[in-house]
Amino acid sequence: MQKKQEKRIDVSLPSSKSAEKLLLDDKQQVITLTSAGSFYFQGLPIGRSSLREKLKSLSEENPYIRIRLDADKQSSIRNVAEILDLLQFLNLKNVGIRTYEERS
Amino acid sequence: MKKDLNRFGILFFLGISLILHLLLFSLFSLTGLLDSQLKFDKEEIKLKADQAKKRKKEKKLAKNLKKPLSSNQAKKLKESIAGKKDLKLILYRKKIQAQFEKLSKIYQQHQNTYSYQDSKQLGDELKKRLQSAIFILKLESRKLARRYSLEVRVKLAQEIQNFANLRIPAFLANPEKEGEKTSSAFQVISLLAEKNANAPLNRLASPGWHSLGLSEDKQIAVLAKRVDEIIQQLRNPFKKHQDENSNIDISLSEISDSSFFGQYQYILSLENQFLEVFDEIRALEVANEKLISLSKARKKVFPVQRKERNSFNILANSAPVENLAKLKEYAEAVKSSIEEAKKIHFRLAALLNQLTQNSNPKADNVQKALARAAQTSGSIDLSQAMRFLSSEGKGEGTNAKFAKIGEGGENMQKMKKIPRIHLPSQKIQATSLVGRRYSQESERAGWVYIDAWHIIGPWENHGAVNYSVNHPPEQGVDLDAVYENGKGGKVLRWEFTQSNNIRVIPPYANDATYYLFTEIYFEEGKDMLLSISSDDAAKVWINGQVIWQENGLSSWYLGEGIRKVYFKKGINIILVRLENGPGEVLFSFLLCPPEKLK
Repeated sequence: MQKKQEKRIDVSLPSSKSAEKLLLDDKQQVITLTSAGSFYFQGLPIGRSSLREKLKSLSEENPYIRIRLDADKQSSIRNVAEILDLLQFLNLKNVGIRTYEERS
Repeated sequence: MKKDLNRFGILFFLGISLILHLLLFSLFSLTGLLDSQLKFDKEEIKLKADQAKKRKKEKKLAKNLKKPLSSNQAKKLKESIAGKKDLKLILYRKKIQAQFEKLSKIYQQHQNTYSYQDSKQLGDELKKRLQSAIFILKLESRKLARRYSLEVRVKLAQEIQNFANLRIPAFLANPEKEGEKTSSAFQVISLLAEKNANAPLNRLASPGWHSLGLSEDKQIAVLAKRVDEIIQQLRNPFKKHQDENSNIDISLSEISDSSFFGQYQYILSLENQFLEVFDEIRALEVANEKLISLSKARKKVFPVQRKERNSFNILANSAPVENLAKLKEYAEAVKSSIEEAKKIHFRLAALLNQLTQNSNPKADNVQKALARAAQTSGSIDLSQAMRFLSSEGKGEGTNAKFAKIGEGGENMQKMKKIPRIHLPSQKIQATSLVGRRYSQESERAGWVYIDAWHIIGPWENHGAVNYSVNHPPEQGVDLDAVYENGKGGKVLRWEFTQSNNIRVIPPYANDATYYLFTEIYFEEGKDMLLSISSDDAAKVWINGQVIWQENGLSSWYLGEGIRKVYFKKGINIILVRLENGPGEVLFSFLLCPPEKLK
């Protein structure tokens, strides 16, 4: 069966000045997962055990804290699942996930 | 004629208007194109201008960075680096100091247990262990003879029975006279069982039968060796020498340099001191547990991995004020050193947590009773004993009834048997849910299984269950650790795994030991029923306390072990040691609130 070719739709988004005015969310905690399987917390390298302890104390302080998981597109799904499982276990539900391509 | 003219006029008019429309349309399109082209050009020009602006800005910044600072500027910037940052580091230093003080107390407790155990106490404990080892040997040999019945196995089981009934009481009555004979009797049993395991006895019995029971033969050999080891220990109980006492320095040194750099260096030295004491506590734990000398125990303990720390020597001098670039570099070092201190604090907290989960010398007897009860194959209620240990740990007072039960560590019969529980295997496999967090609102009607585990292994076990051979996870779970002593020289790391059904399957290897680690959260302390099943054998710890220990190899079946246990409020740590002989390796861990089964 021939696959139907996907049609590309060019969409020009309206420019919004108000969106640009939003301040950066500095309370958001960012966990980064590299393609090599290393973990970073707020931009600094961190081991699995320390990350667990860090997230445990965060969940005790504020379970609604915003957390973002930045996973390299080459990172293993097992590592992503590990972090999501940990966040769920610690009842940290305000979680966003983003993927990116690591550039040297 | 007039009609023709009119028709011609209409046609002419239509033609002209069409041409005009076409002209207008092409004009509009052209202007549109031109517009978009113009827009594109404009955007490109803007982009280029922005880039040029950015480059200029960067150049200016770089120039500024190298520009010497005025004294006023330097003063302001230096103040911004210090201040709050200093306070943060002091906070971590104080936290780490408090952690070290807690560790020192744990060390003293272990040291006291080691130093004040007299030879009579050691002897009594060893006798109890001997009885327990004999009991397991008898049980497993009988099971093997019944299951894979062959003349040699039946004979060996009978011989073990005889030795246990005659030789052991004689030995205990007169260790000096009967010691050698008893020891060699069990050495012979071990050799015979090993011979059975190495020579497929039942090859001729029926095709495909030749490997059945061989791993159990190996297990009998190991159990007989264990009996012999205890006999040897009883014949020559180790004598404590003065130099074998632990006298490690646990005094908290004074901070000599209160500068930022001095504080940071002090934190690094505290970490090293902490790890040294931590390793010594582990050795004391092993010495107390195995009733061996401290020097021997030290050799059995795997030291905690030391991590390379940046010393940030740049911070030794005051903040450089030559230019902004150097000052920025300095500020970066300040920030990173605080992060490093934070990491040290979290790591030490995790290590301390492992120790406080395990150490509770006051409740030692209850722990021993629990460890013995864990080895019984029936369904047992351990919840009261665990509740007692948990309240002891928190200093919430004691449970007098259980303190008595713990005395001598032998009243395990007082840990009630649970009435037989029917576990409909197919129904549970089809309907059980996943869960690791339990609150009052959880509306779970039945069994819940744990699907998320960290697994490490395989380590070599030579086809037999031998819990006296410890591997590093038993001394503390470090999910970042790397071990190079895996089976066949394999490098081992903890791997996260999730199962989509009640059975967890580690990466397969014959004759291997694995460890599984997970955590469960309870909103309030709660009693739960556990169903533990393994292929081939497992030992399970909850918060450092053994609750299940299977000494023989067996295949997986639901409800192999049933325990009623107590989970404390908050996070509970589960560690499993899984042993595999030949064939597949499986493990299941299910929980159910007892009231849901009524």
